[in-house]
Amino acid sequence: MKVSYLNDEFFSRLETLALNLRANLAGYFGGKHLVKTYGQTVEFADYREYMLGDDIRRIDWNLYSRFEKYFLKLFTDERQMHVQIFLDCSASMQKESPQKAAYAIGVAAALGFLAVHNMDKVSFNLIKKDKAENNNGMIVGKTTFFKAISDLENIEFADEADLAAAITSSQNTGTNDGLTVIISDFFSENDWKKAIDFLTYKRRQVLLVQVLSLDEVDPSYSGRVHMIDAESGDIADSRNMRIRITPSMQEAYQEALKDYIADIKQFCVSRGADFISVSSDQPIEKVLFGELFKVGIME
Amino acid sequence: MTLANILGLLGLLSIIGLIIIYIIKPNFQQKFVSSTFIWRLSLKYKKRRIPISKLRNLLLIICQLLILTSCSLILAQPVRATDPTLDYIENIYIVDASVSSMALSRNPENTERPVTSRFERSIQQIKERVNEVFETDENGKISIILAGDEAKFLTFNVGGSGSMQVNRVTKDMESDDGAYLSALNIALDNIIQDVAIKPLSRDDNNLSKYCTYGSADVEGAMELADDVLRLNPDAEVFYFTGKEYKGAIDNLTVVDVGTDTERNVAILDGSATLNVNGTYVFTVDLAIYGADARATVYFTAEGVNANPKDEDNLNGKDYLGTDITSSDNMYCPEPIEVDLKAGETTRITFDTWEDLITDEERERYKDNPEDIVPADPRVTYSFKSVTAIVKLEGVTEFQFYDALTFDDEFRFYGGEVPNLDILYVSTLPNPFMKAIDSIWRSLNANVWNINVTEMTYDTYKATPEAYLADLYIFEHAVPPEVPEDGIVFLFDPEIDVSTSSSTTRYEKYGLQYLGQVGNADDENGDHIAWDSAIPIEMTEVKHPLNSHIAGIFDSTVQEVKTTKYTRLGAFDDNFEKFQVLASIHYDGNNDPALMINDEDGIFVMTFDIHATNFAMKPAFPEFMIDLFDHFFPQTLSRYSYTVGDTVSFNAFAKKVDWASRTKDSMRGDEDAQPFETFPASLKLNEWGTYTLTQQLKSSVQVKTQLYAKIPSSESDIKNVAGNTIEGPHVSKVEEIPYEDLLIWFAAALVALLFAEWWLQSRDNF
Repeated sequence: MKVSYLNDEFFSRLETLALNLRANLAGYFGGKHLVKTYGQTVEFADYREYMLGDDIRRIDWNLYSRFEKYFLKLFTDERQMHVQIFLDCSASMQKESPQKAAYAIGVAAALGFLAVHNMDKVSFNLIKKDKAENNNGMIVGKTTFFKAISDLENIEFADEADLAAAITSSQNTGTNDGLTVIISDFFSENDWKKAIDFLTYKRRQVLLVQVLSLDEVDPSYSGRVHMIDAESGDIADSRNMRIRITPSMQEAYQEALKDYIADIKQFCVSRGADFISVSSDQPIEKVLFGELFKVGIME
Repeated sequence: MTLANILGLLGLLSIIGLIIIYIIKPNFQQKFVSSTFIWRLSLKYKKRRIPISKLRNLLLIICQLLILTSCSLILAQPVRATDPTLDYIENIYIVDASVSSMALSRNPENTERPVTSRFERSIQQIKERVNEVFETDENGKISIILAGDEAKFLTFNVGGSGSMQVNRVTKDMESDDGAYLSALNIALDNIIQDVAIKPLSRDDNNLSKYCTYGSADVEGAMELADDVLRLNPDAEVFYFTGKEYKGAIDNLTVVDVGTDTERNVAILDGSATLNVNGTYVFTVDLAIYGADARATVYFTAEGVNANPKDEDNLNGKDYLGTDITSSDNMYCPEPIEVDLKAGETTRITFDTWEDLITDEERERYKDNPEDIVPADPRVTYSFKSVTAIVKLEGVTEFQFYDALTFDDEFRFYGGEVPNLDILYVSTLPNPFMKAIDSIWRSLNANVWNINVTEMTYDTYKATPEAYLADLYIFEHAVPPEVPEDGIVFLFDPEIDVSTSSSTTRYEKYGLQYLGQVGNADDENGDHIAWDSAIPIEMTEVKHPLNSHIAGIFDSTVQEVKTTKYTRLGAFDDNFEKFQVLASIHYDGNNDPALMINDEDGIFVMTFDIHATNFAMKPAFPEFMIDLFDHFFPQTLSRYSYTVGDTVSFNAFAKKVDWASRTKDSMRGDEDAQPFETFPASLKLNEWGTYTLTQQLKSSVQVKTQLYAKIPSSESDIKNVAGNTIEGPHVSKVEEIPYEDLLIWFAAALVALLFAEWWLQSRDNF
């Protein structure tokens, strides 16, 4: 059964929101994000003394009459942000829980919409195996965005995904020019931490969104279970396991999951990245208006 | 519990089905999950499993198995078999048939039977009780058990409408329905008449036909009583005995058949010990039961210092003390009188040196012991037998006054050390062998009288048939004929083998001559240097002597070598006869060094004792002592036993044609009991003297005597102090609600249910 969060009502509720960027931005195109550098906007920012080579048209002659010194008027600058969204398209995101995949797509679409709505650029990178595919290129404007969204809804979640390899080998990650969002369940032994290190090295603001299904948050099955990993190729895969699930085992699972999430969070804090973990059974609005507000990504 | 419908147990086959279901049951449900990564992490968080968890996993199948078993048993209908017709009287009579039941007591008022035995009175009372039972209840049953040396039924569960089952003693009692009571009365009357004491002689009765000379097998009797009680647990058990049991006795009624007039004087035990000066001291323990009395002990010594009896051996020596009369070396010293107190033990010592020899005579002995002492029978250095008899003084009708006469006498044997002749033949003088002779003599002085004859081989081979011995030791020589009447030791059997006839000598010993190694056969005729001497090693053959030579041939501790030896093998089919205890590895050959043939009594040492360090090892004398003890074990380790004992005895020098035992009794010697394998066992069922006769290969007969006395506890005819009887073990019928096995199954099921519930509750919280 196909599940989708993407409809007009969903997007109309996002129109009042905007993405907030804490980091400085580099680039040439103007946008809506105030940066620390001075630019050509009409909003006064500061004065500074004239230096040889400055445009004499920007000298404030009123101040010269008062102090008999040349001062220039400085104005604030606003630039366009590039939002890169990396979506984990491995089998574990959909195989047993279509709602989990739809939820992940919904989060990606919501963040993308916020970007284009605020005149930012957005690109959707689909992580499949060790590659990041960007079929829609850089998206600017809502027309292109909605076209891309319709493609997103038809993504096939299959095989494995190597987040680190895909992100570090991505062609256009940019440098100091915006926000990178990684949407995944992070249930992987691959060293995704390398990807975070790579992105922080590139001075991009990083947001990790962990999407979990209800069964992953609170496993409802018990007894003797032969667990076949969603990403495993065959029954003999080493990731498959036979286990007798007892209440005490379920307790151990909860403890392990809690510690794993805490581990991700601690790593993100150490790298200046943001992290949220959401369950697909929660209303998606709660993520957008709750969790993202908490971490300060949204304003 | 028995099963009324045993086919119900076929239900147990369902257990097989259950097990098959468990085997083929899909144990794991498959599930696709994306969180195996977290599950794997969670294994580290899993609490340590407690050992009971394994049991918990099996609880379900255990419960199911128990349920199936319970159902099967229910189908099989377990029932307790009970006889619905047990409303009759049944008595079990156990008769004490120990030697104490042969005790007589006088009753002068009863002119018809002035003297009766306990056994007779027991049977008489049983007869009366039997008639009472059947007068009271015509369906009653009785069983009579005789507790002799081995308990047995006289009658088993007799009565009712069943035909009688009887053993050999009362086989004439077999009877058809209805006639059992009269037949039983006749049989019991016959026994009473059989054991009745005749007016003039107490010996003319048949008590020993029914009673043992030892103790009663009370335990066996109780087991037989249990057999009856299993059929009818309400049966009453009566034990007829004259002894008093002080302990508590369950499920048993003791009927006292003793009387107040019973008296018994006894020699409880005796011992003969050697003084430091070589003379014997005889000790007997006397006791009287029933009354105080004055008794006299008579010692009679026979065959005292028998060897000097021969006039030739006397050689002019004189007896000491002219008042001694000696005939066949028999000597009767003055009787010893003693006052005995009832129930107390009095020890009488008869010291042939201290008691009989005056100080003046003792001085003369000291001055000239060799000439005089051995000829005086009062000074007992050796004896054939000594008899001690106790008699009560001042008692009229003595023969009926003393309840038991079997314990009035005690005989001492073992006072003669048997001769053992050793013939040592050698071509060279050998101080080692003389030392060994000396050791053998000193260590076995109390066991063997060893006589060693030494001669050269030339002397021997001139007339070998003239020299007979129990042990032949040939050194550096192999006689052409094997002496068959004794054990043969061949030390360094080197001979002149220049002629083929010489090698055939070996073949008569079961050996094959293969040549000489060492200085005898050295190509240059030189002695082999000690450094190049050949080591001797112990083999892994299992033999009693191996354990003793292990210390000698342990190459890690010390090395035994020889510079020359004779290479020998086994001839023809003698391989299995010889066991090689030590061997020599030389020039690719594995030659025997020490060989033993226990079947023919041959020991071979293939190397020269002069050409080895074997004799210089501290353990060498031990080995030679063991070798001697192996071939010459003592026939008997002691000479006094108790009726009921089993005696183990060895063959004289391991070379006898046959052996037998005879029993000296009042009725004359009994038939001989033959023995063929040794050590042999002999069960002593009667009191008195047993004679073991062994016919040696040399046709000489060696006789050894031993004495069996009745148990001291039986002499105490009244009390069995501190003893109690382990009564019948089958108790009377009581309703035991939990006897049924199903109750236990149900209890186990409930317990397991609670166990599972508890374990599950642990998991949930």
